[in-house]
Amino acid sequence: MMKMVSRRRFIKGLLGVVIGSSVKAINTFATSTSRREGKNWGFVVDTTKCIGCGNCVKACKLENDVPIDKHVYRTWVESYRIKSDDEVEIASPDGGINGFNSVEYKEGEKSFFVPKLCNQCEDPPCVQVCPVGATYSTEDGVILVDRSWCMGCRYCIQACPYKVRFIHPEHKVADKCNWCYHRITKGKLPACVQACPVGARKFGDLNDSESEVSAILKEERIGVLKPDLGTKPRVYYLGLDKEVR
Amino acid sequence: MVLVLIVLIIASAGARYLLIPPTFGDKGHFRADNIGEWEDYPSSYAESKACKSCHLGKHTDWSDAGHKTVNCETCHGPALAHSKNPVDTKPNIDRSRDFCGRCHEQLEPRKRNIPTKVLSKHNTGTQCVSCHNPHDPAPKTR
Repeated sequence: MMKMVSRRRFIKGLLGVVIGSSVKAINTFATSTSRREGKNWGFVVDTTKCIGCGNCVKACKLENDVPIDKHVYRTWVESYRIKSDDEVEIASPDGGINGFNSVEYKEGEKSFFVPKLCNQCEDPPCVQVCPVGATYSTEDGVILVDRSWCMGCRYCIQACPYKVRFIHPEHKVADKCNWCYHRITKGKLPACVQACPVGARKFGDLNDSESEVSAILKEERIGVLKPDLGTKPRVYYLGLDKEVR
Repeated sequence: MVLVLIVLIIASAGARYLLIPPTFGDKGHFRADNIGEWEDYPSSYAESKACKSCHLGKHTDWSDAGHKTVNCETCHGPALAHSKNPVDTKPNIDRSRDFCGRCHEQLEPRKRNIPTKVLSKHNTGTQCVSCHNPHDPAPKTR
């Protein structure tokens, strides 16, 4: 009888430990995905201003040590050409890093540039699928990749609906735009924003009602990429055409 | 049976201690130290205000002219190393027509925003900087 009781107590204790650890794990996961007090970074791309010079692409590569000659980009610029029969041509030669060449346009065609970068989604599929916790959302709303913990399985690359992730040619792990986290946490602007000559990229704290990005979100008509996916992007576009995906 | 369970628990605790890195789980399902590692990532850019102390004349021309929205390092590249060691490291100075064309070549999608020219027809064979001071680009001669 004594033996039975002690075994029962032992199993109860074991169950308690297992349930306790699970609750702790669930709590920490919930904390990591919820928005915290303080900064809440936001990014605005004004497609009506972008001139397709590619200076943002170049500055990004130089600031973040992404090899300049490799076809991998943390940010890039696409040119859209919408023909009169609604056929859409999208081009991004070398990510637009060297600008764009002149193209013969016909009457009735529409054309514009669209910069792309990580949307730092509020509900990020890349974070959900990472099997080892190497990609995560910070409390101020940026998705980071832990280079020393990522094992390069490419699951996140597959999961990102915006195709912003790639394997870094030198580090051999997943890489992507992090809005220059090393700069924004020191009060600076991301390198691409700093390099844009026409103010087509804007960055700031959405919790600060005085910031330019807050004013834009409050007053202007904005759009996000692939809103139907429910990822809640934090990159907001001004002048977003319905053909932009 | 009980002994086996105890051994399993001790083994799993040991494996967890050995395999999971420090600070993993402190702030969520990731290694908390990694946030600080990204914050400490080095920057290559000095910002335009850093250029002012040595290049006051050019900074003054630039800050009141058509290119005032274009930061120094947009054209000259990252200059933090130059600001720390101005003698041994020099920033990029590209006076080619192609470089100016990155912004000013006439392209259909860029038609509204800034002054553009069809470079293949505009004063060919001449460097843009012959007529346009890049820091104050409105042409002085025509």
